[in-house]
Amino acid sequence: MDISLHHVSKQFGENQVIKDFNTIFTEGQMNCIMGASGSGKTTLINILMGLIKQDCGEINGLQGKRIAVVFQEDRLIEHWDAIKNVRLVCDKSITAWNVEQEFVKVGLEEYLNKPVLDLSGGMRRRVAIVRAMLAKSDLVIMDEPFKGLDEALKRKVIEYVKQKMQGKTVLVVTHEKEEVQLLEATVSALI
Amino acid sequence: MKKSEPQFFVKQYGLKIFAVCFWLLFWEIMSRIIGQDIFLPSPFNVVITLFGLVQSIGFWQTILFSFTRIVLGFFLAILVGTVLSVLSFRSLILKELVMPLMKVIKATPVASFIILALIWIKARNLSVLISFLMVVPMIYTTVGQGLAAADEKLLQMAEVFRIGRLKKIRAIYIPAVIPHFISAISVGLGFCWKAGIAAEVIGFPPGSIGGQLYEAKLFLMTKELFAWTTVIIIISILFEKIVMWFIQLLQHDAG
Repeated sequence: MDISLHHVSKQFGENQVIKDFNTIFTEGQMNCIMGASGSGKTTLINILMGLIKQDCGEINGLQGKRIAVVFQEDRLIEHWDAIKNVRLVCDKSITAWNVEQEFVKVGLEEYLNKPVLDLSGGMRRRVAIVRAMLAKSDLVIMDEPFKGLDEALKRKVIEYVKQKMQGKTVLVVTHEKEEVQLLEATVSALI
Repeated sequence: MKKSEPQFFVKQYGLKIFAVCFWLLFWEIMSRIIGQDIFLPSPFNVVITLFGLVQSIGFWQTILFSFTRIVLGFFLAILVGTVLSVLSFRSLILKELVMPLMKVIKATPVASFIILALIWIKARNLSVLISFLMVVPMIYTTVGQGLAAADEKLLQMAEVFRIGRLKKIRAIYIPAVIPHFISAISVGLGFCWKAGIAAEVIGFPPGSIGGQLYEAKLFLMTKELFAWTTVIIIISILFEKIVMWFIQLLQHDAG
């Protein structure tokens, strides 16, 4: 089922962040939400994740859906290692070996047993991406997931995401047109 | 340049050893100036007295008596304080109900509790109750602070990924609580020993460390008084080390 938003608005104090917003995110596709910084993209996905409530408007197609997410700030358990962080959100069938294999695919082979606190920004980003890819979900939301990755790594990770997310409903927040092209995604919302 | 091993040792332990030696020497000099063991025995005489005490079975039985009771009170306080704190974190009504009680316990002088408790319970169990009462408000408050300090963004992450309750406790709440918990334990341990022994001195249960202190005071046995005080300090420090080691082990396991 597609996810549709009708006349969604959100205001923080005097600041109208989202105003009468309408869109449809197609099921089983890679959907992009584009917009300039501060335009309310993160607020929109926070509404979709149920972390905040819209002031008015209606959202359909989210009921009962399990969501996996790549937050802008990674949100990892700092003193845990990369494998443990990923396994935290997975069911028991995903072994440490399975996770390691996924890390190899995104070029993260070293320091897997170190606390993520000691990893570089790019490494942490990849841990957050692999975590979202391996979590059991019906919808994957990614908030500027490739920020901080160098060009070659970005392409490698985008390829990995495309492969893993085939046939899945994915919402990617970005302001890079190149990323939309590489992901072969549909721009579903301009905000 | 990297410092050599002996230099490091001197810097790390040398000053500490020097400080201990300085105060022992100061004690020795003061005791010689005063010249009467009844007012201030010399450190050497205290050590001799302590060696004499150590050789009797009664000494170990006395330690066991006080240790088991004070430690029981301490662990009960950890258990009750933690459970109440977690429940209060989840229920505002319970929090409002428990908070004034904890404040009253915290503000009441330990002597009032000891005298009151002597009316209610047997003197031999007094130190259990008193060490419990001294520690429970600390644990309650600090665990509550730790729970409230849990990272909101990580909690949101857990909510979105639908992470189970136990996993959430292990990954987010325990690491948030542990630093607060450690400081409460550290302060609480000192308090429970002081209050527990004070309760024994006032309640005078036979075969307790507090009882021995009272007898030493009664018969002006100052050397024994110092020796037993030394014993209390040593047990208190050793127990604190063991508890801290155990907490670090738990912390490592949670990590």
